[in-house]
Amino acid sequence: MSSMLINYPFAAIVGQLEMKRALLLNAVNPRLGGVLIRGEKGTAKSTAVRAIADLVPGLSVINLPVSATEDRVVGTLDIEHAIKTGEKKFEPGLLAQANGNILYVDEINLLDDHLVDVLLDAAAMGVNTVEREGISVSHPARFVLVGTMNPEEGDLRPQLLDRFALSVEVGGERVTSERVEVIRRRMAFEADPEAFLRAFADDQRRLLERIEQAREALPHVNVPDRLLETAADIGIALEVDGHRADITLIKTAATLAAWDGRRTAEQADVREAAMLVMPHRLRRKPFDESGGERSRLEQAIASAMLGVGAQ
Amino acid sequence: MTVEAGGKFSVELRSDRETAWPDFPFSAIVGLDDAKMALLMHAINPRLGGVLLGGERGSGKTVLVRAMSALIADKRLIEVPLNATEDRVVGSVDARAALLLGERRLQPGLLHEADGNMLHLDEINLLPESVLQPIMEAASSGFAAVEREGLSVRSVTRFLLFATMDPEEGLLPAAVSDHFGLYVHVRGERMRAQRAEIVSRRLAYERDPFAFVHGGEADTSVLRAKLTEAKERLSRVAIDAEAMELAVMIAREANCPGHRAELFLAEAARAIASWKGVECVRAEELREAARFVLPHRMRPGGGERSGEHGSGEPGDSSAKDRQGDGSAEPPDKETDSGSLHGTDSETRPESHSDNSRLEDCSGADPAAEATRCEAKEIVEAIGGAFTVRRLDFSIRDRLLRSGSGRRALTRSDSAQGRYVRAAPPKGKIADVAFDATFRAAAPYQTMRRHGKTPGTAIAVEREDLRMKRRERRVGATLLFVVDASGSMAAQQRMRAVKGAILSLLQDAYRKRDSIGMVAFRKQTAERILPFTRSVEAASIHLRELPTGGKTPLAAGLLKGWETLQAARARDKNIVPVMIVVTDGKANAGLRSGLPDTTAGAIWRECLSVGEQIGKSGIFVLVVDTEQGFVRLGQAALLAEAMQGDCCRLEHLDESAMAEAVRGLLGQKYQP
Repeated sequence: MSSMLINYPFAAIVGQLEMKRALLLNAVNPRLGGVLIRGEKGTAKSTAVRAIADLVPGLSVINLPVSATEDRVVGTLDIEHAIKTGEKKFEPGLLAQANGNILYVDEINLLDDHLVDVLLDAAAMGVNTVEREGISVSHPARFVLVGTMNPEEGDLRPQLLDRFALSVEVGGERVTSERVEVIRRRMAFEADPEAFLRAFADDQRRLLERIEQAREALPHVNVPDRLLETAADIGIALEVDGHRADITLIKTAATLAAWDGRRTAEQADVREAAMLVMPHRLRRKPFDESGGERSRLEQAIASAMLGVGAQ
Repeated sequence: MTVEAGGKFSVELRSDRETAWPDFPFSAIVGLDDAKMALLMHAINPRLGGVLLGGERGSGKTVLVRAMSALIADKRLIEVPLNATEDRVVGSVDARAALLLGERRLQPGLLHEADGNMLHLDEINLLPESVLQPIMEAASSGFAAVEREGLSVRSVTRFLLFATMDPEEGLLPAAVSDHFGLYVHVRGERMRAQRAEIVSRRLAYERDPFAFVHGGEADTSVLRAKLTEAKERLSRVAIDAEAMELAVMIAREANCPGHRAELFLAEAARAIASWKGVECVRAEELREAARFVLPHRMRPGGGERSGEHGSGEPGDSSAKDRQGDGSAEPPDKETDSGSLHGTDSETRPESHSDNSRLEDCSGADPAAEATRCEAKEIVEAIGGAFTVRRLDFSIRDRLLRSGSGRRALTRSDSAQGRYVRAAPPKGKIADVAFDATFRAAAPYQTMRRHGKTPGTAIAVEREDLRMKRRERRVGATLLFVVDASGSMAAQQRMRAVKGAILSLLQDAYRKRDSIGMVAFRKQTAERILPFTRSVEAASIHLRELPTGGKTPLAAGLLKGWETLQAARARDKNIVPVMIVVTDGKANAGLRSGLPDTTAGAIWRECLSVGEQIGKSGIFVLVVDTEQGFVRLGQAALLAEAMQGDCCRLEHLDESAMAEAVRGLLGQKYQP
C-alpha cells in the first residue's frame, strides 16, 4: 500500500451502522472471528475495511483476490533459494502475511473450493500447516477474515459460513438525505483528502480511544451463567449446526458490553449479538421467500429469550 | 516462528505440529460419549481399521480427535492438511542427499512419520484422491511403498487412523468408508444445560488455555491409566465360538458385504470387553460393538425390512426430515452391480442368504435359531435408529447400472486449482513443479558436473522437467427442460421441478452448481430461469409457471441445447447437464405449417435433435413422467438417442425428482 494513498476515514462513513459495528467489534476483539458482508456493489464495503485498518495502528489489510493461486495463498518452495543453494526454504504466502491482520476476500463466493478449504483450515486452528513440494512447516495464521459477496450470485458453503462470526447485510442508503450526504462527503474527500481528514480527525481519535478502552476492558467483562443458557436456547430454537454459534454469541455479547463501557454483559447484548451472529447460520427451508427473514429471526430470538421452546 | 512481512525463513524438517495452545482436554469435552468410546476402542485395539466421525460442523469431532494426543503418551498425532501434495504424504527423493552426496535416499513422507503413531485425516471427504488413495492403501496393507523418482522402497507403517467429515460436504466412496471399522455420527448437543456448559468451558479455555488444561490434568491421568491398562489386557481377551457365531449372524442380518464386518465386530467387542475389565466377549459386548461397526456398512436386505424407518435418534421428535437424513446418512455406497438393493422398492430385495429372512424363530436347531433371533434384534435396533434413504435406491440403481461412465472432469488446465501431484510434461511447458524437477535432477548432478558451465548450481535437463497437475472441483451447470404442456399433470410436473430446483440449490455440497430452467408448451420453448446459484433468485423466477397447450418437445430440446452451448462458450470448464422432464408424447414440430406434421415426423425430429445433443458432450437425464396403464415408453427412447440416463417417476413429488438428480450427480463425479 502506497503511503501516498490516503484512505477515506472510518468516522466519515455515512450510515451502514451494522457493518461499521461488526468491523469495530472485530477491532476490539480480533479473536471474534471476522465478518461476512453481503450486499450490492458500491456500498462502501472495501472502503470500510481499509478505513478501519487505517484507524487502528498496526492493523493491515491483506487482500486475497479470487484469482489467487494456491501457491500464493498457502506459501510455497522458495525456488530461487532452492536453485542457488539446493536447500529447501519456505516462501510464505498470503496466509503468513495475514497473521495478526485482516484478510480481505472480495466476492468470496467466487473463491475456488480448494482455497476455501485452505482458509477454513487456517481460520479454524489459527495455524497454517503446509505439507507440499517437499516443504513441511507450520506457522501462525491468526487473522480477521472479512469477506464480501453479492447474495444474488449464490451462497457460500455452509462450512465457510459457519467460520464467519458475524454477518451483515448492506444496501444502498434508502433515505434521500443520507444519500446526498454520502455523495457530498465523497466529493469533498476527492477534492481535498487532507482537509477532509483533518475535519474528521477528532472523530477518528475518539473512535480509536473507545476501541482501545474496550480492548482493555474486554478480558474483565463478566458473563452471567444465565446468559449462557439464553445463548443455548437461541441456538436450539434456531436449529443451528454445532456449537460455534453459541460460543460466538457469548463472545460477541461480551465484546458489545466492553464496547459500551460496561463490566457485565446483559440480555440486551445477547439479543443484539444474535442479530449479527445468527442470520447466516439458519437452516433454510425450501419455499422460503427471503425478505421476511430478518423479522422472523427477531421474533424467533425474542421467543427463545422468553423461554418459549426452551428444553 | 515469526514471519517478517515479505521475509523468508528457512525450515528444517519439523517433527511436531506447532500449536501455540495445548489441545482441549478429552475429559473436558461435553457429551460425545459414543465418539469418545470409538476413539478409545481403536486406541486399545489397532486392528479396527480406523475411526470415522461424521457429523455437522462445529460439533466437536476435530477437537475430540486432537485430544487423543494427550491420552496416548507414546504416540504422536500426525495431521494431513488439505493442501498436502502427494510427495509429502508418500515420500520422495531426498534432494539434498542426492546433490551433496550423490546418494539416492528417501525423504520420508507423512506415511513414514505415522509409523507407530496416529494419523488424522480432517475433512477426509475433501482430500484429493491422489493423497487419499496412498493413505488408505498404507492403512490397509501396513506398508508404505514408494515407487518414484528412481526410488523403490517399501517399509512397514502401522498407525491408528482417525478421520472426520461433514457429510454435507460430500460423500465418501464405499471402498474408503469400508476400511474404517468404526463409524460414529456426531451431533451437536440439543439439551440446554449441556450446551451452555460447552460454551462455558470453551470460553474458560480461551481465557487461559494452560490453566484450563492443567485443571483437567487429574481426570486426564485417570483416563490415560485406564487406557493403558485396557491395552495391556487386550491380548488376554478371548472370543469363543458362540460369540463368533453371533458376530457372523449379525453381519448377515445386516447384509454387510464381505467378511470385514464380522471381523470388526469381533475385534470391537474385544476392545469393549477389555475396557470394561472383562476377559471374554459376551453377547452384550457384541451388541455394543454392532452400534459402531454396522451403520456405515449395513444395507437393506438380509433380515432387515424396509418398513423400519426411524427419523433420527429415538426421542428426537422434533427432528425434521432433512435433519433425520443428514444426521444418519451413511457414506455413499458404490457397490458392484448385481449385489445392490433391487430394482423396485416394492419387491423383496435380493440378499446373500435366504436363511436370514426367517420371520419366525422356530426351527430345527433351537440354539442356532436363538442366535439368529438375537442377531436380528440387534440389527433391527440399529436400523431403527438410523434413516437410510430407502426410496432412492431404486432410482439410483438404474442410474448406476445404465453406466454413463465416470466423469473425471476435475483436471484443470490453467494454473488454477489445487496442486496434487507432479508429472512429466505433456506438450507445452508451463506451471513447472520445481520441487519435483529438482528431485528428478538431483541424482545426476555428479555426472553432469563436467558438462556444467561455471556458476551453475543445478544442471537441469529436459527429461527432469515436471509439471504441476492441478485439480479443481467444478460445478455442474444443470438445465431443466420441462414439459409445460397439457393440463393437470403439467401443474404437478412444474411444481415438482420447482421444488426440486429449490431443494437442489440448498444442498450444501452442491453450492458450486448453477441451475436453470427452460419450459416448452404450445409452439415454443422459453427460458424461465436463467442459470443461478441462488435460492432467492430461483424463487423469484419460478413464482409463476404457466402451463397448457401442445407439446413442442423438439423446440424444448433445441432451446435447452442453445442455452447450454452459450454457457459453455462463456466458460469451457463447466459440466453441462440437461434434465428433460417429459412423457415423450410430442405433438408439435419445430416449424408449424410444415407439410408433414404427422406424429411420426414430429417424433423423428425430436430424436434427431436429441441425437445431436447426445453427441455434443452434454450429460443427459430424462425423467419419464408418463402416467397411465398403457405406456408408450417414448421418454426412454429419447434418453437412448441422447445417450443419457432415464428414470421413471411414478409419483411426481419434488423429493423424488431431486433425488434422481442427486443420484445422477453424486454417482458420477464426486471425487
